[in-house]
Amino acid sequence: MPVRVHLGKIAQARYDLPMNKIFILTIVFSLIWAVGAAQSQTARVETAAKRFSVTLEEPERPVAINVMHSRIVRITTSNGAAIADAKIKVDGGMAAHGHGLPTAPQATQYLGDGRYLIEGVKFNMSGKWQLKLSIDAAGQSDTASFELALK
Amino acid sequence: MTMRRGGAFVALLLTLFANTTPAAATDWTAEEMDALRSLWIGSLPPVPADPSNPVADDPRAVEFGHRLFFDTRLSANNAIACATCHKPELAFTDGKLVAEGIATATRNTPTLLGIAYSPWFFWDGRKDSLWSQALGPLENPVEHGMDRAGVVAVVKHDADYRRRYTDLFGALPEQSDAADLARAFANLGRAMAAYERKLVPGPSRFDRYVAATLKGELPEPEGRLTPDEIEGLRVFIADNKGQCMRCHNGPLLTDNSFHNIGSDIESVKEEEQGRFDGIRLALADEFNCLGSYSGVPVAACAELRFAKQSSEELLGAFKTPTLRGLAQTRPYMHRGQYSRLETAVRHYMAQPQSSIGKSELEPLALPQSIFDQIEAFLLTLDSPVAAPDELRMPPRGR
Repeated sequence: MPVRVHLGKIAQARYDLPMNKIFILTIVFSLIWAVGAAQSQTARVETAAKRFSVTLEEPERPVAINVMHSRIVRITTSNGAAIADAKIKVDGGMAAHGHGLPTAPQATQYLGDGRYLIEGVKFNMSGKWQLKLSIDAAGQSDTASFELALK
Repeated sequence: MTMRRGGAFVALLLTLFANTTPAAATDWTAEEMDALRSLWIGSLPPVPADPSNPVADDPRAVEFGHRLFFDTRLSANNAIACATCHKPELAFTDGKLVAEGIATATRNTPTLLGIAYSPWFFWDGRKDSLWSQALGPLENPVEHGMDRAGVVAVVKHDADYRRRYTDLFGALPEQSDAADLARAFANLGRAMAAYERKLVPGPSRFDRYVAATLKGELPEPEGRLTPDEIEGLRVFIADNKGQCMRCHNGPLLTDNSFHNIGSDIESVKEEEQGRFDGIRLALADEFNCLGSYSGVPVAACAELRFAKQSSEELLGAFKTPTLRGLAQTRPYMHRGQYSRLETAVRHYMAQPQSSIGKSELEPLALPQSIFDQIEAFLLTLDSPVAAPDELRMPPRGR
């Protein structure tokens, strides 16, 4: 659905002045950007069968489309104890479009304190993406799914 | 009668008004403005660094590469240069169905506009650097038909080339040791890549329109879009309409990724596996990022290491081409099967099934007339090459 620029009450009085219009548009764009960024910030989910708790850490910079980057996930027990020996498989895609990720990301390094480096992540269009982790640890398996909104 | 006449008069007035209203009066939503900005040439970052090419931005390499690019001596019949198929006057394409070198090749010659921004090269992405791509056609029997020894020998026996090579890379190998020869051959690819990195697109009429619109100004005459072009643009950027930006996104209007859009030619099925074969070839290539001639640590090879290898989505998938310079890059698609832009655009209306893998295209509920408007918009992406004049013609003194 298209989002119409909503100038609101503050703007109405000086709508005729281009500078103010630009200023307000800038604020509107900033807010839109902030919302977009917020959606890809640190997210914590319980795995499907609640065996683990998984946190997808906020990337250092906002994620742009078509840029190869790394992400960090932290895996703990449901009580918050760090898990060090997890085997992680990464999958995902855009459910709405019925396609997978454009790359094959992998967990390549254990960084300590339950944190794992996932390399090779890329999103090649804007919209809602899912990042799915299949986790094997301490003889248990479970899956975690994150929703990311790319602008 | 009066009513009808009055109505006709109003309709005439509206038509006149619609045709003369400056384009900036278009009421773009915030979301649409974001999309316009994302496609705008002003959003294009500098050409990305290539750690595997130490001379990528060395002006001496640009000059040397420019000479190599136009040199027909780098072919078995002394008649084929890179510029034979990548003609500057056609946005570095050749206007042919498929490339014709020593013999007829199998795929359409892609434009080189903005090529240095791509992590993958050829329609199937079988090369992972611009310099290793440049080596492919030289040794392809149907393109230049040379071998690396022959190419290095041309450089060795030309005093000017020999000096240029030595200045950049050190001495040429005297013996025919295979690894030394491959290293010298790779270096020549690096010089050609330095030249090709200069072939970036400049602002088109569309970009001038966006630049003015983002500033809230009326575009100058050279940045005006017609109502049809604007309507085409609106549909192009709308994910619930044209869906074009799902693949043709960013300032080069490509995600540089691979998609099956049902563009395969059934009669040549064995060559239509696209990216499914391309990634295997890239992984097996001695000149790839992980190979001994790239000179970079494994960490610099994320694209190759984390490339998707085993998905059915790769079958029949080809690289999304840039849409910049479209007016000059006909015919279209990887086999040049559409001679006119009109028919290429209508591919997305017809949505043919793929005979290999599965087409990603989703049905578009759009009237036929919209496709004319999309075509009109696409022609506003008439980007010139932003390189200096001398790089767009054969080098002087040859």
